[in-house]
Amino acid sequence: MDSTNFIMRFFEWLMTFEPKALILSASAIGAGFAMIAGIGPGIGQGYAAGKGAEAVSRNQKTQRKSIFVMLLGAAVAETSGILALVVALILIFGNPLVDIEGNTLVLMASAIGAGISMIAGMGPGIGQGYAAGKGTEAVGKRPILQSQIVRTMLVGQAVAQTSGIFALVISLLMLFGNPLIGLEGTEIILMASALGAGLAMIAGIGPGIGQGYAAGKGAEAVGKRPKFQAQITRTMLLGQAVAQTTGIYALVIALVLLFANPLLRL
Amino acid sequence: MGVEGFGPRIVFHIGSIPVTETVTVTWLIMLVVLIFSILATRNLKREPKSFQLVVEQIVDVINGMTKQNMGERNSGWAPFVGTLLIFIGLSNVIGLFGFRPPTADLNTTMSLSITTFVLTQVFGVKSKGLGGYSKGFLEPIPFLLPLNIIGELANPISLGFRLFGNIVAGVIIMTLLYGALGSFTESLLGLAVPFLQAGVPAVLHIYFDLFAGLLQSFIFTMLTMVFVSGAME
Repeated sequence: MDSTNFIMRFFEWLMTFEPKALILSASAIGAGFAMIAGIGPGIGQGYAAGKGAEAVSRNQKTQRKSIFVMLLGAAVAETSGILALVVALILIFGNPLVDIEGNTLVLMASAIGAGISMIAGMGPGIGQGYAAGKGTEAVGKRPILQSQIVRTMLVGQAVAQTSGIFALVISLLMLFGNPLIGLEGTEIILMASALGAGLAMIAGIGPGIGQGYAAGKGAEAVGKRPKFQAQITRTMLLGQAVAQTTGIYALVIALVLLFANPLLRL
Repeated sequence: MGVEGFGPRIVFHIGSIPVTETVTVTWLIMLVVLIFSILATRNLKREPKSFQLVVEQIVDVINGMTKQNMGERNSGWAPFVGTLLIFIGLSNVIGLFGFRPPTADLNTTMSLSITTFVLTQVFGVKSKGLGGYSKGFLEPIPFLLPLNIIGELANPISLGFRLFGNIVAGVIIMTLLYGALGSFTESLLGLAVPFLQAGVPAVLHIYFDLFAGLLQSFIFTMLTMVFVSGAME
């Protein structure tokens, strides 16, 4: 027993591998993490499909319109899954970190962090799926209002995507414009900052679900009172902006960790 | 941010300035829009015939969309809204013809979203006055001022990245798919006859280029209208 400290022994064990092998294996882990986001669209689209079936059972004549709205909404809910897939594919096929000269541990942490960040995609997936379901339900009840309902649903869904897009921004920053790699500092802090920035973005799950709920209720409300569409949409957007708050906190913390890390100066 | 490997190719240099595919494809789109506009506005008749009917339909749809989302008195925004819709729509769909969409470049999408951001601020100040407009940042309680400012600044970022992320996702997935199909047929036949590349990607092209492209151009335009009219009320 040369060292009883498990973490120290783990790092010593890591250092027995080549740097390139370490970065590649970290990319594999990151790609796996990114795909966890798939939980969200799965749940959301399932909900939308359920609402679609319900709408058709209630009124068979609306089948075509209900299915159209369901597919449209479900396709939007797929976005965060596709973005996660893209980050995973970049990590596997076009990894920019492999060619960068820099501290191996920091590069490893960046690859894993970029993957973890994408987990946030779960939220928008669930939320947008809920909105798609509510939109389908509303169109099933009053197919005449299809265009108004779909418009409110799409705007709400687009806003619900925001936290997933923040996660993508952080993820791409860590892969392509990582400021931590060139920094001087204790390597363990740099490494932990990259992981921390990724972890912070997971908060995006919350705003994604919440804003999706707002979008769904907005679509439902427009389906009941199309006259007040402007007011409904405005109230929905205001509430969604407030629901975005914690996601913006997460983005700020992640950006601070990457660009203006106070921990390095301590 | 240089997206090596998946980024736009540099076509040629003017002096020391690199000109990328993004710029040249944008020129192409400008040319298409210009020629279409010249053809569409030639020989306008009181009683429209075939081609003029289509053009009038497009103008009608854009006018109607603007009025419905921004209110009757803001119908003067229709030309701007229409330009955004047509330019982003064409940029996204041009991937079908084998070009790289200009919107798969962060420079294009961010300049579009910053345009929206500046318009939102300018027209917010114009219609409410500087005092009234800045008071909006102190609501619902003054304590939230820094958060309101960050939230306002986050809007153009998410607007630009939403478009960029969706389009570049399609570009990356299609590039990888073509590569994979190419090497698959080669190992299958031992010949470099990429017959699988002819039919298989069509479905994905329809989803990523046509469906997602048109949807995202619509979403960008809708959010622009909502932001601008929201700041003016």
